[in-house]
Amino acid sequence: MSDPSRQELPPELEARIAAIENCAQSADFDLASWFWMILLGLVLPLLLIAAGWWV
Amino acid sequence: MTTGPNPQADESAWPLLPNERTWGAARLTLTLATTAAATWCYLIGESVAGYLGFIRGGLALAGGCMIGMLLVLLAAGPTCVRFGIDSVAATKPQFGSRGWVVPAALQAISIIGWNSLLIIFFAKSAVQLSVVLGIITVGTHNSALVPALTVFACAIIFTALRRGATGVSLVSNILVAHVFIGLWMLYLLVSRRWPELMAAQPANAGHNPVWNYTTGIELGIGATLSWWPYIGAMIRMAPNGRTIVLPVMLGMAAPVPLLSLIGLAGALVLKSSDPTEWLRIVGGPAYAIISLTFVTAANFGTTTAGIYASAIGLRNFSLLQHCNWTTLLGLTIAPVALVGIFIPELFFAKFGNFLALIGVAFAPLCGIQIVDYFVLRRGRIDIRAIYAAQPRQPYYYWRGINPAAMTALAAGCATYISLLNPLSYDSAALYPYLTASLPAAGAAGLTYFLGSLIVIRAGRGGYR
Repeated sequence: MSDPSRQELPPELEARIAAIENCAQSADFDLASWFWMILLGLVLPLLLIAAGWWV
Repeated sequence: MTTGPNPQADESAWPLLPNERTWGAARLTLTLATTAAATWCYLIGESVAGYLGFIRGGLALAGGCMIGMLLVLLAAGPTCVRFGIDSVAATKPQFGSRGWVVPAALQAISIIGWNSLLIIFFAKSAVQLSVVLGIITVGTHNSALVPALTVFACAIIFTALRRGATGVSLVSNILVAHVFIGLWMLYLLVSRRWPELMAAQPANAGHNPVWNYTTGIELGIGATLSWWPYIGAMIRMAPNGRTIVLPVMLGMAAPVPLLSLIGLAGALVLKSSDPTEWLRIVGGPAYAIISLTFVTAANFGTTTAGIYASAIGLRNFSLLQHCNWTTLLGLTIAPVALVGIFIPELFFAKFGNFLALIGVAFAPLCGIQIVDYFVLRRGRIDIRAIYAAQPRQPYYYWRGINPAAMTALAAGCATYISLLNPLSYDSAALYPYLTASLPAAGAAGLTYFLGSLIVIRAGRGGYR
């Protein structure tokens, strides 16, 4: 029986969502990603800012 | 229903499947770098030159750019890359199944504004190049060429983008060389004018060196925060989070301060951030031709990516979901073309004000998305609810709008403006120690968190 609260979506969109819900979604950030983000997004810019202030 | 790859999938705002997300790190880096490198870098550098010298300005700008890029990546990155969706779609869990039109409007206005500027720059540079090459002579008739060249540029971009994201990648493959030409231009100026560069003083520096330095950082943060509208449409073409981090942080965040050094150096030494003016002084007419060619090419790549991102963002509107891709491209390019045809000079004169006001909203937007994804939802996003807009769906909230997000956005904007007036640059006492964007993001995030406690208690928002 169909769930009345589920909106009817276009068939292709429905298929895409079903595929993603059934484990086709990708991973967001793994450990390596967090390492690079912290290094390049926090550590390095803070070092650059500190270096620029003391120049 | 088959879920095999659809060659037109990248022309929709629907989630891309893994077999459609074929961009590796190299291709993504190339596209992002080409997108980032445009004449706005000169304007950014020129802005910094008003407050800081070359080395301090370069370091402050670089630090600010990297921090701003991190905010954008944390805000839009996780949802866009997990589900293969664009930046606007990624705001539906926070703003609601109708409230997302607010970020969509910010995206559209920002991209139209930037693209109009770049296309006008392209047209003016093409006219200058034609004069230097002797194709046309200097005269009043040249002003009529700007609208004509605007239409020409829009037609080229339209043709390229009829191939969807492939068109963006194709343009990037061709135009990436201009990034290296830009770095060569920087080398020329730095190597030939180093003593003057070191001796140059910023024209508008205040008495407080901390204020000046913080302003350089703030300009960097703002420069990369304005990538929020673009980034989702690009990174959704990559397969996972690990693939996107280095391309975004190095391919998009790094070129901006590097190429902004061109404008910074030019403004400090030769009182002009426009390399087409000072390269003729530094290296003669031949160098000016190379510079003009670079400027002409640079803006093409960025505008192509911007029009693509904007078209994908418009796809989120139900009326445009099934619109023919060609028609949608036309609708997206039309405002840019109209500005370039009818009001290019007026737009140029008021552009700084326009951008300053638009930039105020992206820091709070990032704060909201970061708190929602990492703190409140712990990564639990319902992809079906993003596309299901009816009542009782998780992201419907109240009449499709999440009041916590709207309140947080307003609080963040108010925080920004209370710290720094983006038009006059009048600032509060705390601004030199905090910047304006970072507290704005923090205030929006905190307000969103507190407001969401009420939303969660009311059983809305799909948090449970």
